[in-house]
Amino acid sequence: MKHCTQVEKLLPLYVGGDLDREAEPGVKSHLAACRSCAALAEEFVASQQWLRSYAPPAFDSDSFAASRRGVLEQSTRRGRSWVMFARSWAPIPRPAMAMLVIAILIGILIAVVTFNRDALPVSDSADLNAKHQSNDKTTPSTVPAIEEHQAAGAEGLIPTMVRQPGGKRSSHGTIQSVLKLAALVPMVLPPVSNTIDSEPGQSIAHGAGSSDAGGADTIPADTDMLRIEIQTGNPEIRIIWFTPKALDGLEKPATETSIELIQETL
Amino acid sequence: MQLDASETLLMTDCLGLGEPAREKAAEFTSLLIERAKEGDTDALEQIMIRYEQRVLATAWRMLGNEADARDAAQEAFLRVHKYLKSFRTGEDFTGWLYRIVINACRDSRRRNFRNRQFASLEAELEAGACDALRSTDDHEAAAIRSQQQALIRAALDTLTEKERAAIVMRDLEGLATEEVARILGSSATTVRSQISSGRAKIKLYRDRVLKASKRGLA
Repeated sequence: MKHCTQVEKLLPLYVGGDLDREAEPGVKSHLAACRSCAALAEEFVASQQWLRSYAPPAFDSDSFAASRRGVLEQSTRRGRSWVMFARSWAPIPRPAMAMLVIAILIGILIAVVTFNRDALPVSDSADLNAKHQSNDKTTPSTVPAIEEHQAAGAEGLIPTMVRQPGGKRSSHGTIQSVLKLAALVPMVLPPVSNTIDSEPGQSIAHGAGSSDAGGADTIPADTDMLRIEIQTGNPEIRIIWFTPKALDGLEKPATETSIELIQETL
Repeated sequence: MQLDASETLLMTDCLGLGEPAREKAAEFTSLLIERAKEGDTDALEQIMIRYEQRVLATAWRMLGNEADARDAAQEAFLRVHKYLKSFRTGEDFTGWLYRIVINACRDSRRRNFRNRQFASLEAELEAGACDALRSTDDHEAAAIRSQQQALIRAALDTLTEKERAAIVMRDLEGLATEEVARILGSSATTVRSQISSGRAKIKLYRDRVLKASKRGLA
């Protein structure tokens, strides 16, 4: 014989016929003996009947038809969009499609390699410079020129780049890009008047020379030097570079060699 | 899809009662499904005609109003069209369709949850639902029925989403517990637990309504 509290818990399932076959006889015998539990069971049955009277209204057949049309239109539209997409690619032959995909992949690969080259760690550049130095020991190093320039009172004109932990240069990618552009078109960059006083008749862009103590550059016209001037993002930092226009014995053009040296210096 | 004479006969037979007719109906449904899978829109339409009444009724019981139920039913049929290719031949199509309808209703309910004003017992009392219960006028029978429906809807709204789905499937659609479990993706034990708690909550709500109406009579 089950206890009333046990039966009360089982009644919701009992009235719907969802009780296990093992438990059902026990509940049945208890209900036969217990009036309060039997009354409770009656209430559950009435509640079930009340719930089952929850019938949907008579739906309009026209609205069913409208609903069907809506579904069919939407499904056709979905189907069409896929078909149109597939057809738009259909005229292209498969070999051509394969070539196109390969070309896109190669393009992506080149872009990735180029990007990675721009982001070379410092050590790589150092190796490059060491290689360059070993190749041609007669080449006058331009690094001392910077030091001379600084010693001559042009401090602040040559930037000191902050090196990040891990060997990467900060913001060097952008600066390198600017340097490359500047090397290609050195004349495009305008001279900065407040730091360089050029003598009349002397070309700032084509001539170069030593700095005087006053910070102004005097540029001998007969010197075959190239001047590269870069304004960085910081208005207080400007890069001025003097380098021979042609370096005998070098495999690379002078401007390219200079760029490499600038990169190393940075 | 052009139905030939034999198919039309088959369809007519399906309207009859008895086990053979039911088997033929199942065969015909399988045929329609296969054709719909191949992209036959007429077959899809035939499937919709066969099931739209049941789908809409289930959606109405789940959501409680016709507008939402129609949207959910339409969404359910769109999903049928979308996923029909993944339906395996020989599987129970009705159960699969119920599952889609329940999921569409669940999504609709979640979408409209913030905008929906669930009717509480207090709100129903304010609206005069229990006053209508007291009325004995025959002319108000339709109004009483409408109020009863509102009360049952409110009672169903007290259930959790899973309890409601289980109660609708088991008590209102008349499906077996195991079938409900399959549709809802639960075990039969879990569904029994949900049905038990759902029935207890509905009884509790009904008791409160009856007490409130008796207080009003006194």
